Amino acid sequence: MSKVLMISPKKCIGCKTCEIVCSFGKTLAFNPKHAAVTVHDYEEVGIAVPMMCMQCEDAACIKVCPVSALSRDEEGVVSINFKKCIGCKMCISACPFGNISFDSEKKRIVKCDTCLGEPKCAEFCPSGAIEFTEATGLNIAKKKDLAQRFKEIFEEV
Amino acid sequence: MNGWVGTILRVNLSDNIVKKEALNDKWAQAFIGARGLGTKYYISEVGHDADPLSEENNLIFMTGPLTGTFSPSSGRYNVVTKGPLTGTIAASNSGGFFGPELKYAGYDGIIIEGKAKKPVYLYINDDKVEIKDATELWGKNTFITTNMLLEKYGEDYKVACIGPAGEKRVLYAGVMNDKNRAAGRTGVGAVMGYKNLKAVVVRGSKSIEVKNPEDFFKTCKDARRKLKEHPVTGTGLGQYGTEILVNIINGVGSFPTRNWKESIYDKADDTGGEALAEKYLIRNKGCFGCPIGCGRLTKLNGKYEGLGEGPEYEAAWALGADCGINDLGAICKANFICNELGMDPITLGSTIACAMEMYDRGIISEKEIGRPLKFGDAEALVELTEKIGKREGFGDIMAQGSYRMAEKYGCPELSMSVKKQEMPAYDGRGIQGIGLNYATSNRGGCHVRGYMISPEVLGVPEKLDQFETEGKAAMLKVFQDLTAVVDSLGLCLFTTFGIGLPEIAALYRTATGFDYSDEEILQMGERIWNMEKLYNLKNGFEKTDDTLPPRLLKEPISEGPAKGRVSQLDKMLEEYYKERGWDSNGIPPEEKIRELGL
Amino acid sequence: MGFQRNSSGRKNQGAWVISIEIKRRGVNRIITCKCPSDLESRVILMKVKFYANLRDISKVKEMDVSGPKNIKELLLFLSSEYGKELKRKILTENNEIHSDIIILVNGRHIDHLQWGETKLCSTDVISLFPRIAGG
Repeated sequence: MSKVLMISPKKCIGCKTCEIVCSFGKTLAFNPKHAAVTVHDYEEVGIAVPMMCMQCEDAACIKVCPVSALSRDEEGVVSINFKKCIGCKMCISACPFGNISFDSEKKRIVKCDTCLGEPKCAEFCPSGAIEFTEATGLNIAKKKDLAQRFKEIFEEV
Repeated sequence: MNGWVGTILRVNLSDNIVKKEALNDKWAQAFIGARGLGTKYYISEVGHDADPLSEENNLIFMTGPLTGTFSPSSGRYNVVTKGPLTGTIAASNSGGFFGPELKYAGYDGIIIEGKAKKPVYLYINDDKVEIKDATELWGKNTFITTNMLLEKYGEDYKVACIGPAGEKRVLYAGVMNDKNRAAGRTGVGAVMGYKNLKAVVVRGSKSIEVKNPEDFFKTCKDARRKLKEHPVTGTGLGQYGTEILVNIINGVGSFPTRNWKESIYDKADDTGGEALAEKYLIRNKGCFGCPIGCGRLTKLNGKYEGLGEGPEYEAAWALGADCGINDLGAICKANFICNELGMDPITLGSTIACAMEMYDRGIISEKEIGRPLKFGDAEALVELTEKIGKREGFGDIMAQGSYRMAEKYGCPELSMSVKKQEMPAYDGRGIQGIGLNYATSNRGGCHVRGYMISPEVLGVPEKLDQFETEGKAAMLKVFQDLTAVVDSLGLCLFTTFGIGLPEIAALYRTATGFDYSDEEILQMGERIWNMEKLYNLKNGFEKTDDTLPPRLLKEPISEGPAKGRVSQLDKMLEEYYKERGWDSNGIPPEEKIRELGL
Repeated sequence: MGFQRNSSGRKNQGAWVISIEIKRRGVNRIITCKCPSDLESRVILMKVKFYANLRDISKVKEMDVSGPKNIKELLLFLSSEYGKELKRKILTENNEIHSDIIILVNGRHIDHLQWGETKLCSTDVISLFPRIAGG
């Protein structure tokens, strides 16, 4: 069963390690602006949210690409064939989440491809805010957290 | 590119000129970056007898070769100048996200010369650098200033700025970046205020490269794993922050209380990390690229309403036990005010504590202060913090620090400071090694430069007996040199709880491509330390300044586990000078200077 | 052997009547006794203080203990009282003192006393910290 990148904003400490390691994975240099993940920090409410491509089942970016450079593989990852890509940036406009961006140095589209199944952001996130896991019932963090609370209540009793 | 990005920004505020110049590679190799390199640039360009608050003085923002890379905890940069509080060389260290952004814009550092005729701020967007009018920002606190600049230019900018305290040249004003991170000590913010420079706002979209990317990545991965596995850096600091130290330092009876009159505080637990986590903590925060995440995001409602970061251990101590205060809400509030107005809470708290003792002894009156000032008065703490930041009333005198205040009233011995900078939260009578560090640190009373608490109380890397003097001098030299290396690389000192010289040296080698050995890299730290020392000597600092306040030398701790103890500085100082290869007056001889290439 | 004391006392005709609730391995017992008026000064227990995340396990900041003669015995007793969760933090698998715990007896690290053999007496205060740091 294929894995997905799951985010738990409550655990995010806003360190941007994900941004820095992602940019390195793509460019062998350090530049958060070339990362496929971006962290939005909302200090007033104590939440920071790492955002990356959701690998939509019904991907708007695939639909809009005029040269079919975007496609979905067997693992469910939507990736770019840079040989076909003409850099028209329609996919950037089409993505409803704004999760595609443009590297102005290399003149390339930047989009998460889960680092070919070994996503660095999940590997190096120090607080577990990004996980690469199967999105089955047992794995979903929020479900687990709530179940954990029941466990604690019953333990006390 | 090999860690450094190769360009220094030179800004002359008197002539309104901005220049870009190539980084001095020779200096970068010898002095690494940040603290070391910033100091080298500083002492090479400014006369040693310059008045800190004068047009002659320079203010330098400097990052390190590892700043902004995948190295763990690589968010650091230094603000280097001559410290108005001490008259020593001052390199103040700060975390957050400003340092990396400066490098992404393409600059290893900024050298600020001269003085602007009216308030200005520096705007940097990659190659575009402009000095802009700051009339609208002048007078505003650091939070509002930062928000205004972000609103004007965009959320992806980073801001370093001063608050009213820096504008009014409180001698311990700091530079605040990312709102709550501080280059806090020794008054670097006052220098920025003197220059009429309100803020630096920066955005960068360039990349940082290292010499051996694959090897560097592996080294970083290894360092990060070690930090994750170590109990201190892996879970401890993230869960409770630095304030967790309150109870253990109090537990060993070396928790200075009421201006160091006592050293154990019965209400310490009210002000510790556990209490903070229980009452006001929202979540923890990490600086750039940091797996440790020791920052505290705290929120208070009601009387002491506010949202901010901290307090850190030393701030919680200075505003707490040192003043005999156990009201954690008041302590947090005073800390928030320090961040908003842009001041060092350690010096501030210690100055208020000194004033409290002076009031207690009838040396200053309620009339002069404007209110009663007994130990334990939480409302006084909050009120005076505000007054000091704005230099109102008695706050104007307190804004000069405890030494000048106490000296003015004929009782300088009541100032718990070394070289006029107040010592932080560990009693050198009960913990001998930290006392030696206070006496010998190049910027006065400072704990971070040679954090002997690590071996003497926490048992990292090994447990030394805090009551003994043997072996302390030797270990202190290593700590001081290694700290200088870490400070100059742009890494956070907290990494050293989990990794040591071998890992740090490996990070340096794979990033820069320079094949120095571990020992040679440690020697760079020694070089930096000696460079700072020579500058201070030129400024008239002598062996007699490498000392501690009379209370630590002569008044034994009155109760608790360290009862009856005083600092045995005299036993350790000679040995320290020897370890450093200095003569008996603490002066580096010619051979040492040549050996280090100074 | 050790017991955890939650006690209440009231004076009755000049003598203290003390009710002691003993909880040992989940069994609660209440013992009531009439004691001489100077009992307070005679029955003094040693105090164990918990800090940082150890408090999350102990659920109390401190407890009074009597019985363990040295540090090792105390740690074994605490492990039996609080179970695996605490034991993991204070003892290794071979029941040696864990390197990730800092133990003070009256403010002195056991490293400079007799380590696990450090003798304990009834007025001692033992403080337990996980390995922490700051700066």
